[in-house]
Amino acid sequence: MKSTRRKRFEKEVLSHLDRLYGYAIHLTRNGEDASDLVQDTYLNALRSEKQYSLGTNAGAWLFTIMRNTFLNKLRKSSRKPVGMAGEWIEQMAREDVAELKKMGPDPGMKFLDDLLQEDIVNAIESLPDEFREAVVLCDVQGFSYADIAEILEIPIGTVRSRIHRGRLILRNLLAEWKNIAMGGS
Amino acid sequence: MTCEDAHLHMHDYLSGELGAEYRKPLMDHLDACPNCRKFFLQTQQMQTFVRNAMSVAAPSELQSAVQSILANA
Ligand SMILES: [Zn+2]
Repeated sequence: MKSTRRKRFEKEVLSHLDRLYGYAIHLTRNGEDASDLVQDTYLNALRSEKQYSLGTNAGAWLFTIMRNTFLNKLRKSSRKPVGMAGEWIEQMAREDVAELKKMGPDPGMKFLDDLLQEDIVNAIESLPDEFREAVVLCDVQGFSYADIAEILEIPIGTVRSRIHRGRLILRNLLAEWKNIAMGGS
Repeated sequence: MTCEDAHLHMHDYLSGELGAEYRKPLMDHLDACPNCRKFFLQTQQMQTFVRNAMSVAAPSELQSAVQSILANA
């Protein structure tokens, strides 16, 4: 017979399955590896069940376990995470100011209307890891800055600036693709 | 509020992290400044698109697998 604590634990961790799978796809970029990673994450969560206090933040706890599980696997294999892309990222983030200045008074809202879901996913995938993770945890998974800081083990100020800059880079990438697809601005 | 401040605040707003005391000043700035308003609306639209594009449901085989991991532990 399972204890009440155990039943509540199962319920709390299970409620994050879809989010975890989404994050796993993101980390592994592959559905099959993602399913394996989710299962390993639950196994590891069970092993450290005692560290978790019921009714606290199961989401952040599980995401932290998933990320560590993934990084450990990565270390054992030879695959390297995608590093910083360098100068073009700086460029993308800077262009925003110039763009803001040349924008007319028309509050155009149809910015992304012609883009496909695929374009958006590709754009996110092409962000360097450090920006991608922060943006996805915030904008897709809905975590707070404090939770993201815990999951990524970085200061809150860094979380904030990565999200800001990640969105800018993404936005400029999408605007560029859109211009190409539309045959010029 | 300067446009630069407005940009910082609108990102925090979109993250659900903007302090209540900054909300009205931000909205006032967006009302008055077409450039920031445009930027805000576009970024907000992008956030919605990103959320919709990246949200997935775990496949049913994975759901069963996880349930049995929890059940057999
Ligand atoms: Zn402004």
